[in-house]
Amino acid sequence: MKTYTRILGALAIAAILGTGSSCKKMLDLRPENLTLSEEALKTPEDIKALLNSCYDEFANLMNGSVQNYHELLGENLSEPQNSAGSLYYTIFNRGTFSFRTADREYLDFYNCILRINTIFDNIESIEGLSAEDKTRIMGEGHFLRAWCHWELVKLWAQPYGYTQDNSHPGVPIRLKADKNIELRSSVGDVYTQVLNDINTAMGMLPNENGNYANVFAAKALKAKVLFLMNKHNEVLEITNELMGLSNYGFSDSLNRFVQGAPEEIFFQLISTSNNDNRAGAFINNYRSDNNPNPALKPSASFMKIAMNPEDRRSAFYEIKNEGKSNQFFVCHKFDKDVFNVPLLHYTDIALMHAESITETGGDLNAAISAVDAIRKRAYDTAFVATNPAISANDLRTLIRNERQLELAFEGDWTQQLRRRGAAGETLTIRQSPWDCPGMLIQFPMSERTAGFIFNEEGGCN
Amino acid sequence: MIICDYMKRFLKPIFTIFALYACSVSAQNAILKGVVKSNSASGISGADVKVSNKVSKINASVSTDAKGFFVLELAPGNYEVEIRKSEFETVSEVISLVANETLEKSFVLQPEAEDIGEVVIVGYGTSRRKDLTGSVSSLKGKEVLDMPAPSFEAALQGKAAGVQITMGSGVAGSGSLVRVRGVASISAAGDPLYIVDGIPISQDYFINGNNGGFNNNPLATINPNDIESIEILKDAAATAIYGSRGSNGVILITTKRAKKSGLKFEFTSRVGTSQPTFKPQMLNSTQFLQLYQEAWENDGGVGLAPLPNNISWDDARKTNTNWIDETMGTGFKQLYSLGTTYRKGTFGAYVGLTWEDNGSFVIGSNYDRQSARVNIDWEPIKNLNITASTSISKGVNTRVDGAWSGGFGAAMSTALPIYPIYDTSGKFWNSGNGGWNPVAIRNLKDWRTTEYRSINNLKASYRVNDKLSLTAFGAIDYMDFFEDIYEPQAMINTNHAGIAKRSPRQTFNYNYNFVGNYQVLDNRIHSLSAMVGMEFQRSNLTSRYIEVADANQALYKGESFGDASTRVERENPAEAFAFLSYFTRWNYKYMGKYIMEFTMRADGSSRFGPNNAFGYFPAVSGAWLLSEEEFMRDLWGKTNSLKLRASYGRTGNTPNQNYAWRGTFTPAQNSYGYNGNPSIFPTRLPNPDLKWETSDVLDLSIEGGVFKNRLTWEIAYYNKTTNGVILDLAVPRSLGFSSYYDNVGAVNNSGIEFSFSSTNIRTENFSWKTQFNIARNYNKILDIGVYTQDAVSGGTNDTRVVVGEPIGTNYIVRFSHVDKETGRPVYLDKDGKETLTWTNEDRVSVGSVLPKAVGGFTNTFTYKNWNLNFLFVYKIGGNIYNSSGKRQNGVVTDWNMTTDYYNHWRKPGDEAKYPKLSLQTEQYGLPPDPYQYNTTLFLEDGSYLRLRNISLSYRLPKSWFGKHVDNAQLTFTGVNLLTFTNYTGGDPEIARDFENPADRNMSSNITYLTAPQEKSYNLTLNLTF
Repeated sequence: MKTYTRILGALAIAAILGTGSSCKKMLDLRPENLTLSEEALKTPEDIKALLNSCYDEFANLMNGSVQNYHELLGENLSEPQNSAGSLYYTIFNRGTFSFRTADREYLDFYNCILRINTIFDNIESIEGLSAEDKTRIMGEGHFLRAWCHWELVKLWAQPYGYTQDNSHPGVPIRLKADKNIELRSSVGDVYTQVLNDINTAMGMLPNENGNYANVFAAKALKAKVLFLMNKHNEVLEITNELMGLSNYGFSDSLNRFVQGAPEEIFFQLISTSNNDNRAGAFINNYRSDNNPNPALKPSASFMKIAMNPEDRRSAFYEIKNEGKSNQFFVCHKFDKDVFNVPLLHYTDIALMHAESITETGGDLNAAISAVDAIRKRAYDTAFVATNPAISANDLRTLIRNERQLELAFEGDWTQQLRRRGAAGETLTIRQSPWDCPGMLIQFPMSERTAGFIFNEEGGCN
Repeated sequence: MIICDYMKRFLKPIFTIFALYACSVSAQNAILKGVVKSNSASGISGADVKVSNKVSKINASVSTDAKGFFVLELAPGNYEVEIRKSEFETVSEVISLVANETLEKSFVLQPEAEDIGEVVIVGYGTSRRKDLTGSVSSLKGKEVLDMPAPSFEAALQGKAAGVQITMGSGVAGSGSLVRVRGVASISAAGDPLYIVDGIPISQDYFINGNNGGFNNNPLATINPNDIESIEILKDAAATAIYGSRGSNGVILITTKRAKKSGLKFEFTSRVGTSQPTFKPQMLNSTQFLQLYQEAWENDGGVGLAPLPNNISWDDARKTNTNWIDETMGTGFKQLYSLGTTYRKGTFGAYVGLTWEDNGSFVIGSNYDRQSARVNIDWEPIKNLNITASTSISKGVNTRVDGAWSGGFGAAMSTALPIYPIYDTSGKFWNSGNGGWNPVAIRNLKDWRTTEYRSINNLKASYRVNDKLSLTAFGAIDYMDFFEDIYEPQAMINTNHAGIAKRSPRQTFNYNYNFVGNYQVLDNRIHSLSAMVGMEFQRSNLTSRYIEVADANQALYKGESFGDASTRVERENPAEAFAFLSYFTRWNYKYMGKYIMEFTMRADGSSRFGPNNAFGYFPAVSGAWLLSEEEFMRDLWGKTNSLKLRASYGRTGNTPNQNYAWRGTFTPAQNSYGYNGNPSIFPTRLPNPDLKWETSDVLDLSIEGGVFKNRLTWEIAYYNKTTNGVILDLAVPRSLGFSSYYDNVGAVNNSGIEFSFSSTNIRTENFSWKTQFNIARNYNKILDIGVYTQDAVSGGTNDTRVVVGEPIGTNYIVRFSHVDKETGRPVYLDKDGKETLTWTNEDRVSVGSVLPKAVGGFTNTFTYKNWNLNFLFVYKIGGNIYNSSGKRQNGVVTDWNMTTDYYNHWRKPGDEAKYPKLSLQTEQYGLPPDPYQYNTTLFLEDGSYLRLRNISLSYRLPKSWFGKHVDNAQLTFTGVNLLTFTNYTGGDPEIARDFENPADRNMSSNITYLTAPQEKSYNLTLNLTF
């Protein structure tokens, strides 16, 4: 019996202690379908996939989400319904409260930047990456990082030119994937960084890059940035080049929001299927063919200029419950299941080109030629050519009107008004000064760290 | 005397039979014929009779028959007879049997006066309550069943001091919020650890997020009918043996096993109803239009106000929909349960089958559970005990939207009385997901969650000798969870028939342990026992997501779709965690009255990096049975008890996230990619320094019993300081990520508990028992490192972490009054000066999230076959923040308002509760949107007294059924029939949906379109045969 007991005792002790040797292994659990940071970036495919995720993140921001905020701050939309959780209502009413702001978009732009900086921090250690690929990847990274910082500074800061030296606060610039907290840089510094990144991208990007950014996309982006900086001579340098390219031009279609690659497009977001739709925030908020009450509806003031029966673009809009107390308007521009989102396109380049000519005392005929190409497409048989004797000021107004219609609900018009305000024009946006605090999106509460300056409270009331 | 005569007449024929039987047995043996009676002289059936002779090692056992008789044939000699029966005190007596003679003997059992001698389950073993050095509350299975709630933890409310339970809302399948001695965690889970028959079960309240305004209840598939007992371990002496997971208390659930010899059946059938305890009083169409127009005109509007959703005034006037009635009604419940026990010799089995269907007053909400359990005990060879348990249950929760997500929540908010259910063509009006037509969404949306759960264990214990025993234990807790949602074209923007979504999640959780017990010393003076053991637990979670954009029906009905290419299936990242633990417990008793205990657990967890993988959790405790001292016996009497207890120890907690310390990337296979190409991206930055949250706990208590322990009482004090509190910090988003886990700060919980149990009257036919408990918890944040109060928030609620305040203090702007002349709301700035402008900077800690006291009291009256039991629960003090109030009764928006809003300012000189009506936020001094502007106007006292449970039962006379039925009982039970409160916002007992564990810890006093609790009437039939 004693022997038996001893054996049992020994077995028990072995069982109790036996796990000790494999203890580390038993507790070393790793997420099975996730990759550990230290093992994630090893091959050229890894770094390419990380870059692709930057486009993915960027596309999920520019699928209408960000453009809609720009439109809500401006004058083209009517007041959205005041329903629970409606950030649109807050933004429209130009709320400046930290707890209700576009924190998702703020985070995601910086998350996109984090991914890009992770590429920059790791690309040197990737074995087997060709020099050509490395240059291209770096170029695309700089292109996207520039754009992310630019979108942030457009929404969260007063425009370029708001102060003479542009020392007014911009947004944090992040050039490293680390945990160091950065405070807001000046708007001037942010624009300098954006342009530096674009210039770097232009030196690295190829002429052809499939659906991804090529050198012309970087140039088109630079033109847009410079245009918002009111640097019209520099804009013209780029637009002259881009409009002289043989493989880009006006498309016949009034609607650029299609699947495919019309010659208009310098850069667009690609939707490959219903399940990979990069136009969701446009479709979900404007579409009215299957939704009697879309969240975003054109304003009466916009409809006044849009409902010209001779203009074929008026077909994009409809009056519902006409004449009744519950009359409202809808925009049909995005009434589709799936489409690509054009972000840099020829029409925009042509309009910048034309307007910059009027700003710089250039040849007005060239400006008329550009804007009339757009007008002819819109008016078709009802087109009447612009009088060549038109003054520069009148022509500028005409070009701007075309811009408001052509780029309607693409997130452009409000920034144009702020640009003009910063350039000295006296204007209001929905009866409020163009630079009232509510024209800036407020920073999320999480930014409340020592030294971080929040945007002014008080909205635009 | 009459009874005695009756008994004699009655017993005679039976004894004759016994005598005949005795003649047929061996001539050398002796016969023991006995009858077991209560002090009212009625026979006690089912009492366990054990006889033993320590010299000859002869043991025998038998159960009494329906009339209390038993007979045993034994070799001659002296025997100790021990008779046990629940609810009676155990009797032990030595008898002497002579060869060829029959001893007739009568045993009288006294009703159990108190429970100090009972055996309670503790971690990895049992203990006599008398010998406990830790704080343990126990509940019998019967007490669990007395509360007809689908989830067992609801029955703990009001029963144990210091255990605060907010019963789940009336939505079917809802779970309770359980807090043992306050909450010590902020971002880590604050719920106690639940252990079912030895395995820490998976208890993820957020397996489904708060989808539809509802958290999953991980305890819902545990069948209350299977529960034998529940032990709640409260202090470090009791919980440190569970080490890293003991900080918030441990709840041990033990399921039923066969105890009595023979085959027994217990059948239970219950039917009941479900109604809301409170119906929100919303405005009707006329009232709404009147107040809406008043607001419009106050703002300078001319003519008729444009109405929400472009509704015309003509249409609005013609419509008057009572959305509350459309979403809340009466639900029906039914339960059928059959329990079978069988014991023969060393083999015993329990088989339980239950089907339960819980309809809710929330129309369309239902929880259906089917469960089966088999528990087996067997001693195949001497000293080797094998127990095996297996259970399988299926819970089907038919869901509707609630709270912020719609349904009854919409009925209290966005579904206006001017909106019709149907349009003129008879189709649902505005059936989109905007929450304007909850009836349409309920009817169109097919939504259910299905949970299969199986908990199994196998245990082998071998008693090597009198001193050493060894146990090997293994268990598996498997859960298969599916959520199915189908939204047809009529409610979403699609050109397809409808979209079907399915989220399957599997949890495979297993553990095994080896435990050795050794009695080092055992003599009249010293007793020293030791236990050592190791345990390993691992839990794996896998999940997938399937979406069919062109589906004809929900996927649980089968895959039926138009365009097959619209079917997308993806595997989510699998997750796992593991604990490897070594533990020991040493218990020393001196003279049976001084007890010292030391426990230690070393816990290793996969949730921490190699530097911090192991944590050490010791506890030391002592008890002094004062009443065993001679001087106390002289002073106090032999039959009274008095005991002092003290303990000090350390327990811990881990983050909920399994890989919070690791930096990770989402690989290509888990991402849609872009432009048809793969993507990978960083998902979390590493924090290799993350470590345990540790609580140092002091517990002091005194307990005793007087009047022969008819009155027992306990007073306890505890003080728990938690350091290295795990916070899910909101970091600046410009870092590119929003949060990471870190150990920051400290929290203190202290409190005092008092409870007593009293048998007030005990006569032959009538008894009256009272149980009472009360507890107060103090909670204070001591430190939050370098972070501001906004670094951690309770979801979207304005509850914060503020040093010097309890966890989740309301951090809002103070409302002062309504200006009599202008009707504008007047606030107080942070310095207490009146202001007309609400600003973020004027938020301060206000009110009290902690009640002054919580507890319950139970009274039980028994008269002959009748039993009346009622339980009151109460909360004294503590605020409720009615977060939806600011939208219902604030700036007028597209929400409906409550009738209370009539108490608003109309003209100069008015003294009103609410300001002048307005559609404009600036009239209230608010920024543009009216959603987040919390003020103390909606902070109210949440005190209540509630008749949680009243039950009246009648034991049907046996003569009605004949000898085949042992017991038949009919019980009427009413739940939540009466509530006394001054709270105006609805039901003062709030169990709302939470956004995450931090929200669950911080915002339990917030209500936001929360469903009230359920009021129910139930009739139960219980048959034992």
